[in-house]
Amino acid sequence: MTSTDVSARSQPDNLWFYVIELLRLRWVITISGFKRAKPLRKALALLLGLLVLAAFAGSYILTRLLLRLVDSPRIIESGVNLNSFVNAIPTIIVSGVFLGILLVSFGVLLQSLYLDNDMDFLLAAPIPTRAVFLTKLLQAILPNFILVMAFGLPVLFSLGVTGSYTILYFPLVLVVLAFLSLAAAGIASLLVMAVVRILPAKRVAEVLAFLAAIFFIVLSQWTNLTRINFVALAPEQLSKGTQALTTLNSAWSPLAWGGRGLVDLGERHWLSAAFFLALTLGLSGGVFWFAMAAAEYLYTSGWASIQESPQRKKTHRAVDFEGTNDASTSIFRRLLPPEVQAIMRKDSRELRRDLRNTSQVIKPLILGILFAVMVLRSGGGLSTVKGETPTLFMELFRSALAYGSLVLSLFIGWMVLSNLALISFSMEGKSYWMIKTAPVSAVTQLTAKFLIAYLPALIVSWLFMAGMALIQKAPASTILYGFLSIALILAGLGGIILAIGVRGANLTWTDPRRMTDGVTSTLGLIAGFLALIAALLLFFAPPIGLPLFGISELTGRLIGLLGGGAIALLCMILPLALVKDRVGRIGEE
Amino acid sequence: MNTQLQVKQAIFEPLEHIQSPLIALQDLYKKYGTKTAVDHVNLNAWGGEVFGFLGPNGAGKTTTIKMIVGLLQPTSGTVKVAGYDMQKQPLQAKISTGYVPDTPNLYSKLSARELLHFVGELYRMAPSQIDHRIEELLRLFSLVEAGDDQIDSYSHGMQQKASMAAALMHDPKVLVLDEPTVGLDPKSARLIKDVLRQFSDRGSLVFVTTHILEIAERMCDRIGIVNKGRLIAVGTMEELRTIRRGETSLEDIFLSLTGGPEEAELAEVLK
Repeated sequence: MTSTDVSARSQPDNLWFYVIELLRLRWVITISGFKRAKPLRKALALLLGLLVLAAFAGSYILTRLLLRLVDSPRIIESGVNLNSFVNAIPTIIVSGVFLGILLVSFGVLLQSLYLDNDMDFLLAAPIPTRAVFLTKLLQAILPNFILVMAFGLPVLFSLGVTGSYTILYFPLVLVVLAFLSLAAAGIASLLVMAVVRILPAKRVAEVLAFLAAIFFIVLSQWTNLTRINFVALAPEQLSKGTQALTTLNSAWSPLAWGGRGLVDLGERHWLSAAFFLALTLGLSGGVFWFAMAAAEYLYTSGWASIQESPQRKKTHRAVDFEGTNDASTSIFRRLLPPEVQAIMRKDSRELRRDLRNTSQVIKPLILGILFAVMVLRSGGGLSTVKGETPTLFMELFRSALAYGSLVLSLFIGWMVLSNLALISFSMEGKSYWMIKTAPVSAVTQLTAKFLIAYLPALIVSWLFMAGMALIQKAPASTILYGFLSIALILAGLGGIILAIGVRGANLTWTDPRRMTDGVTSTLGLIAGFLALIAALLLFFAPPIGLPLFGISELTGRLIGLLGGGAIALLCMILPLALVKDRVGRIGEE
Repeated sequence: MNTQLQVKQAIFEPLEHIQSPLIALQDLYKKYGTKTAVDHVNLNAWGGEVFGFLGPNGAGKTTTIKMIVGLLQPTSGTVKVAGYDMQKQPLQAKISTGYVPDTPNLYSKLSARELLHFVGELYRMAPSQIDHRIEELLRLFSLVEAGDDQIDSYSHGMQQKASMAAALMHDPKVLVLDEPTVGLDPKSARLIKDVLRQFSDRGSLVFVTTHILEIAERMCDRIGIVNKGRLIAVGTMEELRTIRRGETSLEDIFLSLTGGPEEAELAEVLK
């Protein structure tokens, strides 16, 4: 083919032709990726699809059941008026969809506009720039829109069926949600550009991933923390909650206009429905079109690629490398070979400086704080031991509770250890060649990687235990036993989990959150959990159980430390010895 | 430029004359599944020379280099670096080696200064020597200003120079480079070439792959050409000209040795 042939080909003028072609290309890539995926990943994707369908059906059925309760005699008797809340449901859903899409699109657009590296290719190709941006925005919405629909649409449809809404309500629900999603994605694209003008895109991605991890962990524990029992809500709690949500339906809130329009349409208030819906669709469409045009201009003009904030000039600190001369540093330097120290220092810097890595340590800490709050609120559980429980079991239970905070500390330590040990070699990524080509033996590497996972876990676990012991006024002997057993148990767990991390080492990741594959994570979790259970039995069964047979708790503790300690040390050394040769071959597959 | 030349002369101490080859490949063979990447290669490279390792894409250059520096284990055959077997005495062999990969995948969250310090510690250099060497190398590669910035803020060229500095940190006897001038501006490319020449002049071996035949022709004392995993020619430019009578430039020699259906296809596409 000659260049004349290429230029002679007619190029379509239609914007949507290119948008559809680009979306089709993305679809082909997705399908191709699915076809080439491992069977386990395919099965998980299919399972996810089924779960979305189940969520759709479940949301529909649950909403219908709940809506029937609105007029139930018990609700009416309780004096709670839910009718205004029911009318506010579309606004709540619409607002949720808008904010959800806005937040998720921010992350997706950050990736696709700045981190995927395909923008230059697309903008250099004979494709209208508008088509590229339109496609990027649609790509940011589509997967999330489907997920949001799985939960939001059934609620709104169920509301329509229960309220005998006009047939027009149902297609308009879809149209309103689609328009608001487009507007949200448009605003997100401008926000991304504004943020990237101040901070590097990679740094923004790190912060975003960190905040998302923290958000989800707090969200997952929210009901425990706030101690809300949704099944046994008091009428006044229910009333307060619904009133708070109903305030979203204010006529002054643009997000409420869509919801109000839909309800008015369903209830055949044609004039107000037309007013609110026209306002919503017009405003959303306008915002989307303006945002897209502005984003396109800002991106192509280069405004969105130049950072405005001047880089803070750092001063070189030679002392940073020499370290301080305090006693602990000096002992540390004498005990460990320089290569081990070098790898540990390098890893700790990488863990601290990439917030996506930092979240691996922060997540267990937050969980630990939440657990501690729950334990302290429950008064350590001693209040539950009353009534006609036999004395033997009373004593057994009291002894077990005395070690409760220790077990909790171990649990927190295990989570930190598990997160760090599993990624220890994978976190090297494509830079592993620097260690592999250096004169550093497998034993040295394993020692450094073990310590970088073990020491933070030990410190977190010890601090947590010390804090709990202080609050619960635990005896010094229990604290000492706790410190020793935690140190030994975590050492054993560290050996096992690190060995699994070596077996599943992955150096080809681009996103730190995908360093370890599902199999390695699951294997690490199961093995670690089983080992933790075994360790708890070995260390705590003797001091708790032996006093029941007239043997002192001190003897029980000694037996626990000697027996459990020996096995823990074996667990630390043996798995690492087994994978030692494997270290030399990491990255060769 | 003058300052840089002075620095270069100061940082590469002359080596004692070494009789044995610094890189010795004996019957080196590497197979990926059913595909043979390196096919029984025998090669010796000596101290004081710049050895160019050329070949078309997929010829097995990078695989060979990765086996030389210990990143890959050969299926069979041996790699000796500075007299040490890379499989049997990897630590001793690696002490003598510096490696610059084709893509500078460095620890992006470290600064250049921290990276060089890390490398110095891996090679067990004395702390005072590490600090001194870091300053020398940062000056040499014009990275003093950016020395405390994280590497993920560096341009490709700066990362390439940081990678080069890391390879030179422990003053190795053997420097192995995979496409060292790709993505560098002319000034930086010239600097790298000067450094390599200076490095070999003091008795070290520079083992380099490049696609830029002009660089190979000007810089390399000897050239090895590899095609489909096999070493098909080794020698000085004069020796290669003798092998391919009538061919005067390295480009002609290279194409006549490695060319085939691809050449015809290329010509057809460019018509």
